[in-house]
Amino acid sequence: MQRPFAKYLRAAAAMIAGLALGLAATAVSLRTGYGFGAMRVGPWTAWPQIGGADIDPYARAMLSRSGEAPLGREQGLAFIARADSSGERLDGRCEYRILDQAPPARFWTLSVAAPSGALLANLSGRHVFTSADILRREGGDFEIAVANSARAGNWLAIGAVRDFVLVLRLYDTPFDVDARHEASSFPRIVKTACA
Amino acid sequence: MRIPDRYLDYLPWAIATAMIAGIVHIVSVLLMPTLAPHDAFARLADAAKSAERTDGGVALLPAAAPGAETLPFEDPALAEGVCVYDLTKGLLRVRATADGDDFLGLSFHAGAGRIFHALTDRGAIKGKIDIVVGDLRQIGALELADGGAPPVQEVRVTAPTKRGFVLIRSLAKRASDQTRARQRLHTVKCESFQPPV
Repeated sequence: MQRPFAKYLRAAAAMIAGLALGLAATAVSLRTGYGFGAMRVGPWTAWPQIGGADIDPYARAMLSRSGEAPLGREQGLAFIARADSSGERLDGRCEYRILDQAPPARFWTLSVAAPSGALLANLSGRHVFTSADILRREGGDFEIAVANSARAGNWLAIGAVRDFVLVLRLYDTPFDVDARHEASSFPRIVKTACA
Repeated sequence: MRIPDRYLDYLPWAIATAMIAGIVHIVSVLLMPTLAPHDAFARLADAAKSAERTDGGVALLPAAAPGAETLPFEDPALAEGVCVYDLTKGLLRVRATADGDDFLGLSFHAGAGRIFHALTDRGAIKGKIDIVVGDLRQIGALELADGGAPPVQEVRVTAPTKRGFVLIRSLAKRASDQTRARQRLHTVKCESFQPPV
């Protein structure tokens, strides 16, 4: 009588453990990004395949859970930076400068957002700079200050948050996703001060 | 090396656990697009119900503001509109005019989130965008009706699912251009029509 009962118990334990492990694996894999095919240039990362019909199942699961509608591959590319150019995580208590230039595109925009993709409430009311409205230096380079107190020139405020991300969107870009790219063709993110 | 029998007893159970975990993982990832309650389609269908509608049938999404975003990770520099479609009620025709100066993007999303067609105003033919979305049968009926000579500007796209949405993005180059970018959404027309019999 003892033996079969123990077997059932073990089978049930294996099933419950398998279920928990499988769901945990799903939760972890969906938190790490948009599946395969990430393209990294300096601190910037893009997932070109999420905008096409060849999107992989992980990216689809991730997008349907977050509720995002990505840019079509033919429309442009969105790059996300969660760290600065030295690899340190972006921290809302620090101030940053975004420098130099953006890759070629018909238009680009650079915005700040929460890691969840929400906009950040801030005093300036500005969340984004576009290639058309940014002030440039001679030679075409630009410099954006990310800080919570007002700055002269291009200034983005992030409000009272610990974590934020930077999003660089290139619209109608000739960018070749299969080629290797130098980090120097992308904006640099430099930490200037911390509170 | 000798492994105690005690551990060998557990081995089949451990293998079974790993296999169940693998199956559960794969199934849950594959099912996520159909089960996720707040995917882009649900959010946009919800927003479209209460949104202002243009004469062209485009639901204008409210301007993104902190705490009132329709979709996460959308560019705040964009003015956006959406056409939610259901092919069981007929084919969808999307028409737009490109002025060549400002960015206008149209992306066609299947209900479960996959983009099956996308273009910008750069993809316009002689300044016009004219796209017909239908399922395999509907597009087939259209092709049969015109005898292999489709109108020049018309692009026909086969949708993988019956329901989906067309997201229309219009870029405001400057913060002061928001109104103009929203106005451009009024030039886009979405209409449902029946296939020729």
